Amino acid sequence: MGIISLEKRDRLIWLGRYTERTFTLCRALSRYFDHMIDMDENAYKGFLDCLGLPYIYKDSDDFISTYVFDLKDPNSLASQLSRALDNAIVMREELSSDTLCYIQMAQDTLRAGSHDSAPMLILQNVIDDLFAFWGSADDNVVSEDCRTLMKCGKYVERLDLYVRLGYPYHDIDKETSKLLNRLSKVRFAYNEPAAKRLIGLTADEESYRANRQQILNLLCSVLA
Amino acid sequence: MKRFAFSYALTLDFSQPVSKHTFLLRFAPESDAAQQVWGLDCSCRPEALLPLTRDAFGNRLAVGHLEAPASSLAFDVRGDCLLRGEPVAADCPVFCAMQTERTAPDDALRALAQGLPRSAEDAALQAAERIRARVVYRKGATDERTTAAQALERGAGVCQDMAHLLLCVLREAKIPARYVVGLIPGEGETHAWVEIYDGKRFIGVDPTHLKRTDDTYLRVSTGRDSRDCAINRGVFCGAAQQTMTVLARMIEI
Amino acid sequence: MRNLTEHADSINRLLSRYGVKFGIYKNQTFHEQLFPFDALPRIITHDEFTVLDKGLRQRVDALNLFLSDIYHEKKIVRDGVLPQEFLFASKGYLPECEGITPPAGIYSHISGIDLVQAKDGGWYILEDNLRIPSGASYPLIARELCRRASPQTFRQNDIVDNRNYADMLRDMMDYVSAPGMRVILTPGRYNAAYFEHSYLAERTDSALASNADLYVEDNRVYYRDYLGQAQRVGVIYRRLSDEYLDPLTFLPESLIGVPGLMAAYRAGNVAIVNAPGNGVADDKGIYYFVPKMIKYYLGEEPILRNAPTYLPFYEEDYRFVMENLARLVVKDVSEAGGYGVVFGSNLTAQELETLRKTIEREPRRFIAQEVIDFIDLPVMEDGQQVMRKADLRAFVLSGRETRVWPSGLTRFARQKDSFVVNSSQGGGFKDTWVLSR
Repeated sequence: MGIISLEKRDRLIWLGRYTERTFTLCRALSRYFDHMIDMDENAYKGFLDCLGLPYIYKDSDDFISTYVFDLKDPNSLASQLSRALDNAIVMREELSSDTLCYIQMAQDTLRAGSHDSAPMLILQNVIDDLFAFWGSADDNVVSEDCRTLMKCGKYVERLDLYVRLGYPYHDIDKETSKLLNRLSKVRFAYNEPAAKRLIGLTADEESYRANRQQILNLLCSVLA
Repeated sequence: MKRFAFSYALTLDFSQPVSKHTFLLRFAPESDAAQQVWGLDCSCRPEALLPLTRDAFGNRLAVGHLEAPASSLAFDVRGDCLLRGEPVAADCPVFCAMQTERTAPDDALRALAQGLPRSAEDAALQAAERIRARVVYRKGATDERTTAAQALERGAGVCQDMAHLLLCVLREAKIPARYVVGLIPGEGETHAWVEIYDGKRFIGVDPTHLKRTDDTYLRVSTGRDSRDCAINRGVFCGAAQQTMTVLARMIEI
Repeated sequence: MRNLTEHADSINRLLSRYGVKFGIYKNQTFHEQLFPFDALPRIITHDEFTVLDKGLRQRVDALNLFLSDIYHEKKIVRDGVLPQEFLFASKGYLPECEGITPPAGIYSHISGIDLVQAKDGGWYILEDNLRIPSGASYPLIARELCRRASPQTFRQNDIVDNRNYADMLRDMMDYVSAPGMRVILTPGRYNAAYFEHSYLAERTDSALASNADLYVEDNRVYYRDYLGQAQRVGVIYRRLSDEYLDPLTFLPESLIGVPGLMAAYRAGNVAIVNAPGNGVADDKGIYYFVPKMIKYYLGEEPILRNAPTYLPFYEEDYRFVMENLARLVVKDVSEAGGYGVVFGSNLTAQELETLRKTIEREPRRFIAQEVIDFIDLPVMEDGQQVMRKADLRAFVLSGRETRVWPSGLTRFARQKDSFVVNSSQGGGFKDTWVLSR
């Protein structure tokens, strides 16, 4: 259709954010899970610390079954994905059923895998579905505005998580330039001063290390 | 036959600015056998387009829209009229025979509808007398949503209640009738009365003043009950309290 | 056919993949669940469909003429074919719609006509749905997915392709549209049929809008885009009911309507699909008169039958109903959605007496019908074929011409001997095949 209302603008940004949140956390969790096999059973606490989440999980098994799969835990991966789906369902006519279905499939995968003994395989399948979602979006979503809005949300979220999870500077540098590239294409008003300051603060590794909190604050306001 | 200048000013004040305000203004009296209207001028502030259109009851109205935030909205309607006070020949819309939520009869009201004279006009005047014997005019006794049955039970009401009561009794007695909002000489609020259908014509009866309407009554709108004749309705965005000020005026010239 | 049932699992996986769901409220919270699908289709032969097609078009044409008459001259009342009392008793008659002539003069653009097939093979009309008949999207997507899962089945059988529904819908919307874009207006994400709203928006290339996206200015409807520009709207396929449509005309407390919409509609500047006020024609009390309407407006004999219906309002019918109450089904015309329906055979002698008294007091409020013994259809249940009650909702679209969609929604009861086919009460659905020869 290509005519996007104000409400849908926000939906698209949040769709991008929640999809990316699920995606990046799946990838990060896979690394933590690997550690938890035979190196450090409590490695997940470090993950919770990075994201500022409470220690409400009894042990590593409880963390996996609750944090990954339980919809009743508002912080869980399953909850993030269901929010992505909530935002996607109301955009069906923009996204196309053929694109929307990949988020539905990711959710079905996660739901079906809640008792699986190999959670990393489940996460891998979710990652595959979300990769397919973005591939399908590039191919099937007609409106460029629509794709741009989703991707703005996606890169804001990715940067936010990379900063929180303490990713190396070259990742931050790469993702910042992707975000700025997207912002240069948008036709709506965004917070340009915030974007300018973001460029300054991520200009080199030293500045990135010293200003993480400020970078996170700027990311919150850049699309507002 | 009398000549009048009339005006109607309505101001809505909001406790904080409201936006996306869509509003309806139903105050555009029309010319017919009973009244001739000219020089009608409608305006509102902040300025908005007010295209005249019509509702299902034949009333003219305008729907306006203000996208930008505003802390008040004021309407002003004025014009001149020549009033003849004569019945208006017309077809009778079916809604005149239908009771509504506000005119729905209970047993007490059904009793009032028994044994009325055959002629529609006599029946209306006698029904009005029966009502007035039971219900006194008192401001503040009822509110906008009071039904005919509630007003009878309370034994008090304003012109709107008197009109609902009369509509209820007449419709129960199979006499088609409609609600009327309009102006009478003086300053203050709008007035309400009833028009009955005698088989060929609509005849005005004012149950508040217990008389047939004459050349001092200007009809603004008609409908099934007070709801169809609401002068203003609106929907906006914003959690504001709304205060309404109305000044209706009709002066002989 | 066996091939199709063998692929039932793949079909169900595909339905899940595309989120083919409907919502229900359980304990006041919203749940979405998959609409149970049975792979065995209902099959309508070519000859049978030829009759249904003709009969449905005739019926819908008459209903459209009736709606136009009722909101203008009311000749059918003046000529004594329909007693005025029935018009007034109908909650669907909206005096607010008096005098409106919708674009192209069409009131019921999408008619969902519910039919059942009796054991003798004859079809009976159970109900007309002329307000917001829902359900076409389900067989539409099911067909697409069945073809993927079981291509042989569709190679071996001569089945009319039903995937033109969205094109039919879009053609109809364009035909009645004023200048401007197509919009599907949804009451929101938590509506039972939200899947359908969004799927039809995608397939007809319409914007799926909520009321906050729309506004009325200068008697025209506009869609606010995210850049703050206004796009004129030409046609609204609305999925919310009349009383919520415009808070300036109907329920003032409606938070999901578009204020001022009726003024724009009356001015002819936007088409509303289906027209407000259609409830008067699909009312239980009015149903009885549809065959009479066909004669009155078209001068034709009705091709499709109503279930035999009696109106206690008429002396002769009154006596019949009183004598045969124990074998009839009695419906309260002022109730909807399956409420106020009583099977005489389920009542005790005392309850029957009470019902008799109620009818005696208010004969206008009730209709009575013969219970139709309609055929069961085979349904797969845990690998076994069982027989279940099923109805058919046929979709008739009225635009440039009146067309019957060569398919339909077949709903079946999931419990043995149950007549309840509603999705909200656990019923399932089937594809409906029309054979091309």
